[in-house]
Amino acid sequence: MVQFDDVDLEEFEQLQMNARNRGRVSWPILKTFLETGKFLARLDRKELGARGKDVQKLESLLKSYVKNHGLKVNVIKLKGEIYLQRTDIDKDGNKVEIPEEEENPEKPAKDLSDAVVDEEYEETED
Amino acid sequence: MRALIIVSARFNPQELWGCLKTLKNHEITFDVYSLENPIRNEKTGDRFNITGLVADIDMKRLNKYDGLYIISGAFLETKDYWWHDKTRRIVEWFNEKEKMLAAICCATPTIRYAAEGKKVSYYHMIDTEDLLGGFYAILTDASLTVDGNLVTAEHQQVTVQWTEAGIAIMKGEEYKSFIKEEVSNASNVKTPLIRKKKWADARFPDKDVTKE
Repeated sequence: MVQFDDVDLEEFEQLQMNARNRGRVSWPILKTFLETGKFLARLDRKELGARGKDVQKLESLLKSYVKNHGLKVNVIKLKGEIYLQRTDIDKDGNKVEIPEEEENPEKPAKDLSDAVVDEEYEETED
Repeated sequence: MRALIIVSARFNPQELWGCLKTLKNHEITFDVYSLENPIRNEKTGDRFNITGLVADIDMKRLNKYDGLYIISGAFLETKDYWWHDKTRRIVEWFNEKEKMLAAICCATPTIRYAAEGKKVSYYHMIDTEDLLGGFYAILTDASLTVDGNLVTAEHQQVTVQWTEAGIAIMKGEEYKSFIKEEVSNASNVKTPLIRKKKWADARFPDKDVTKE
């Protein structure tokens, strides 16, 4: 028979918090960078050990984390080094107003005229 | 001369534009209908306004058309026509009047009601074989087949030839196919007739396909 054990709610919430994946590599790096308050910084990869050896992998890891979590950080790879640049402040530390991304409006529907048929046919042939 | 075109709501651009351009080159006017308006290019997402919805086609005014082209696209949207009652009635009307009926790729099962005893080219899938086979169509391996008023094509690469074959039928001319020899498709598993019959019985319990 299947059995069910009682669970302590607080303990469960803590478990949930721990399980929430913040990234064992990306989040500590990005968090520390944001805490320094610097506009631009080069990442010292020595501290990262084996994780820091593959620059390309690390760059894509950081980039995807930034993209998925909507962080205002630019990850740049330059001559085998990784640079982090904040996009929410300027080099003097002043806040920059970032306009919210406009939703990509759908193109209006075209009428099926002779010109449209010709144009679309040419494009399809290409 | 006027053609009725029924196209998948998410259409295959190569098929639609190839067909419309060929009709235009032969100075044949057309009306384009679908289950949605506007229709959408399945590759680019661009939208196009069409004549109207299939539901709005006036059955009493079908006389003004000399032929029907059914164009496929995204699989799910194309599949909608397989079971669409209005489309079925339109196909049956064109077949009764012995007017040209053309379908391409996954859209071929849509004209199965007119395919009994006729050779058809079709997009090779078990579903399409079952549907066409259920109505006793003669399945072929050719890319393009013309049999009586029926013009069917297997894939988009023969769109222009397929449209031209339809135009020839509409004009009452003989179409000389470019196909000299059928090439057997090794991946094509022929559906045994017993399965076709079973399938047809299951799908159309009120319909005796053997008597049609």
